[in-house]
Parts: sequence; C-alpha cells; structure tokens
Amino acid sequence: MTVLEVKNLSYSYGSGTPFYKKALSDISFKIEKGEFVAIIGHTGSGKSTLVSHLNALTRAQSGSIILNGEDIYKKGYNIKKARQTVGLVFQYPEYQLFEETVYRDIAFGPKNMGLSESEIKSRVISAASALEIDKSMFNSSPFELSGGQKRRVAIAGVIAMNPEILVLDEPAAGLDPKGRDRVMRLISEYRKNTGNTVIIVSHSMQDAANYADRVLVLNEGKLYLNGTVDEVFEKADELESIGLSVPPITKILIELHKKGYAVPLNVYTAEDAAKALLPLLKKEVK
Amino acid sequence: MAEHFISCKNVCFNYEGRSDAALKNVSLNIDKGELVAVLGHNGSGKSTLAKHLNGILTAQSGDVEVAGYNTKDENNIFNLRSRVGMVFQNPDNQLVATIVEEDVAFALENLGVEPKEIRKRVDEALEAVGMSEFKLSQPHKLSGGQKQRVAIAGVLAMSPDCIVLDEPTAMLDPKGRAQVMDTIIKLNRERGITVVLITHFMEEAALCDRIVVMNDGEVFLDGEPKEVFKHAQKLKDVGLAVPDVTSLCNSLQKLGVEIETSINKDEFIENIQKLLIG
Repeated sequence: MTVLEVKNLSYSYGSGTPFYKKALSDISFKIEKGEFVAIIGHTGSGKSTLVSHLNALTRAQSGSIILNGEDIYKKGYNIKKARQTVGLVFQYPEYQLFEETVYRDIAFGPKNMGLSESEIKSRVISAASALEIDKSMFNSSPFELSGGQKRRVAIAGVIAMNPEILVLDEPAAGLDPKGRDRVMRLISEYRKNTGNTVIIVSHSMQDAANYADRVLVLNEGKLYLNGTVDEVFEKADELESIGLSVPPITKILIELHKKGYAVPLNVYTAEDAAKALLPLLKKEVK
Repeated sequence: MAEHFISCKNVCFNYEGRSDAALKNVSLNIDKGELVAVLGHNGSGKSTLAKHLNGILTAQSGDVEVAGYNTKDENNIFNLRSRVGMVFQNPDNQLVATIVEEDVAFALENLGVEPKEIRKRVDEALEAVGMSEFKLSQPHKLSGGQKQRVAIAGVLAMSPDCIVLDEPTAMLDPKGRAQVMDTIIKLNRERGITVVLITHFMEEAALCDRIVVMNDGEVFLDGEPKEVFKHAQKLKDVGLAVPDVTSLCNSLQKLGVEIETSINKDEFIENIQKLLIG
C-alpha cells in the first residue's frame, strides 16, 4: 500500500530576488507502508527542503503530496492531519529540547495532540523504551544528559506522537561510532516493531546501505536515482560524479573487481566482505 | 617544556554544576608540525581539550603552554590566538561576511593589518584551500565542503602555526569530507602547520601521524594510527571503532586467514592480492 506519493514537486527559494535558487525540480516518487527509505545527496542537493514538504512545513510551488490517498493541498484538507501522520525529526534535534524534565519533553507532542493523561503516559513510556531511555532519567533535566542521550530523547518526543511515517534528517550526524550504531539500530527496530514507515536523510553511505530497503538519490534538486540499495550502490562512478560515494568496504571490492578478481560488489559490511573473499583464497583455510 | 609546541601538564577542568570532571589530569605534548587526531566518545572531553589550546577555556589546575605562552597569561592571549586558529563543526555559524574574500579578510581587518598585506594574505589563503575561483562568491551559495574550506582560509590568513579543528566534516557529504581532509593534510605537509583534528570518523584519523584517544576526561590511548587501531576491542569498549578496512582484516583473521592488519585501503589491497586466486 502506498502511504506517500510525491508528484512533480518543485520549489525555489527567493523567486524574483537575486537569491533565487531552484531547490527542487519535478520530483516524483512513491513510498510503501513499512518501507525504510534513505535519501542521499550532496549538501545543497535539496534533501532537507524535500523532507520539509512531507509534513507541509513548506508548501510546494507546484506539484502535489498525497498522504494515504489524500492530496494535502486540496481545499478543506486539515493540515494538522499531515503533521500527525508524518513525524519530522530535524538535524541536531537535541537543540530543540526545552522542557524541565525528560518526561515532559517527550510528553510535549502527545499533550498538544489533546490526548488523555493516561494515554500520554503510556505514549511516553513506550517511546522512551523504544529509544532505550531508562525510566530513572524521566525526572532529569534534558540538559544534563550526554549528547547521545539528548539525541535519543529528542527522537522519542517525535515517536511519542506515533506518526505513521517517521522522517529523520541526519539522525546519527555528530555521534560517536557507538552512539551512531545505537541510534540507527533503534530506528530500525522501531520500524520492525510498529510496521511504520521510516525515511532518513543521510550523508553516511554506510548507514543507507546497512539499514534502508530503498535509496533515493538527489542531485541539484532533481531525483537522480531511485532504487534498492544494490541498484543504487552498483553505480559507484555515477555517485562519485555527484559528490557521493559507496560504503568504504564496497570501494575495496570494486577496486579488486577492477583488478580482475571475481568478487561480488553488493557487499557493504566487513563481515560480509570477509565471507565473500574466502572462496577466492589460494590456500584452504581451516 | 619549551621544546614542545603544545604542552598540557596535569590539566583538570570541571564545568560548573557537573559532578564529573571534563578533563582529569591530562598530560599531553604535541610537537611542531605534527598531524594529530583526537578521538573519543561524545562527552569524553575532546572539545574541552581543544578549547584549552587557544585559551577559550583555561586549566583549573595544571598548565597548558602553547607556542611558548601559558594560556592563563591574559596579557598574551591575543598573541596566542593569532598563533592557534580554530575551526568548528558547522560552517554556517562561522562565516560572517556576504562575499567569500571579505569573510577571509575579517580577522585581518579587525587586527588592523595594512590593506595591501590583507589582499596578499587573503589571496594566498584562498589559493591554499583551493577556493580562489570562488573569492567573489556569496558564502551561502557554496557547498558545505566549500564553506568549510573558506572557514579554514579565514584562519589560515592569520598565518597561524597551528590549527585546531573540532569535527570539521561532521555535516559534510562524502566529497566535502574528502576535500576538507585533503586541504588539512596539504597544509600540514607543505606548510608545516601543526594540526589537531577532532573527529568521529576513524578513516580520517587513520590519515594522521598520531592518534590520541580520550575517554571520560583522560588520555586512554596515544600512538601511531597503526598501533592504536590494533586495539579494536578496547576502542569498542569506549564507544569507538576501527576503520572499516581494519574490521575487514579482523573479520578475515577470525575466519582463519593470515593477513596483516591494515588501516588503509591501498595497503590492504596489496596484501590481499598475494592471497587471492585470479
């Protein structure tokens, strides 16, 4: 089932001024329920502008956004519905923490939705548990937490609104390797447990390859590629030409392939690469 | 202590209202011309340490001497800061002017440098980071990697002996990351500028001469990348990792393959080719 369809979307900044910039031009794609989609692209390629359209923070200058079969720009459509269907987690969301306690910060969204006290509580508890935030932290000030903890609290605040589509702009940027793996793993588990759709924007080719089912590649405001992880990352030279790359492990295999070794190219992790190299070794390994 | 360019001796620092110290008795020497990566989990004290290197923060106990100045000596703070420049994570927070070359000239104008000299230094700095052709561009129209190189040029125009970069590539795409790393390495190799690079990318650390790993406010490991990345498990325990190519070596070793541990792709490819049929 298609939950989100973007049709011929275009957007420019500063029309009629010297600062005119075409940010998105004629973008179309569909996203199915429960999919994990990564959006990659060079800085300034339009990724953040695109995601800000998905919950109607930015209104397209032309084209349409269809959420669960309904055109959100149609007259009479309640824009609040779009905001509740699509939960948007911005870059460095920890800068948006503001409440006195972790509990209240996570509860802020559900409260504004007008839910009952008991429903709010159960939302906060389940969102916190999804992001591995221990109950003992509920009464702490969010500002006393470590960088990784703050990030997880901020994401929990959006998850607590139970959006059908969770969109995260660079959810792991600036985190250390362990924090990065943890955030990505928790998002992936959240998707599995709820069946909700997840869209991430990322500069990490590794994260896109490891977690996504499908990758959308933006280049200068246009949809450049749209395919499975394998389909996208087999185009290493094209990605390179638009400022992107393939995961480091894949790079190694591509280089060996170019030297004439029969190695597979759709391998993205060290463990899988080791297994893929094994049959090609001269000596039998015990 | 005079022989080291940067010398930290038993440095302790506590942020107000925090129970655990951000830096606990850190002692560390960095020589002129070194290219040093500082790794550590979020909150390990990396940025706090960096801020001690040009006197943004000063040691509550212990001493930091940089370029012969004690960072606590307020009379010399401007001399110190003109020798040690800093570049931060978000390029958008660091660019102030509406034209690239004016941005690079900003600090020099504030220092009252002669216009002719400013022209010369700005041109040289932009040349050094490969941004000359953009000198009349508007900063907001540049890519992230380009903006970050302009920020580096702004520091470079002050002719510093040392540049401290705090996660300069965290917000950049792969090409931007590569451009910034190439620029940093070039400045170090060709101009002998001492570089302290704070990063969460193990691949970037592997390109440096030396890696200092911080953990909970202390120096946890300190050595050449090849040595430091031998400690895969130890690094994992403190929230870090090894470069992907090193994990690949480790995975192969676990499967019984006798291959040397590499920290860069080219070395690995050379080694694995000796073992492959083809």
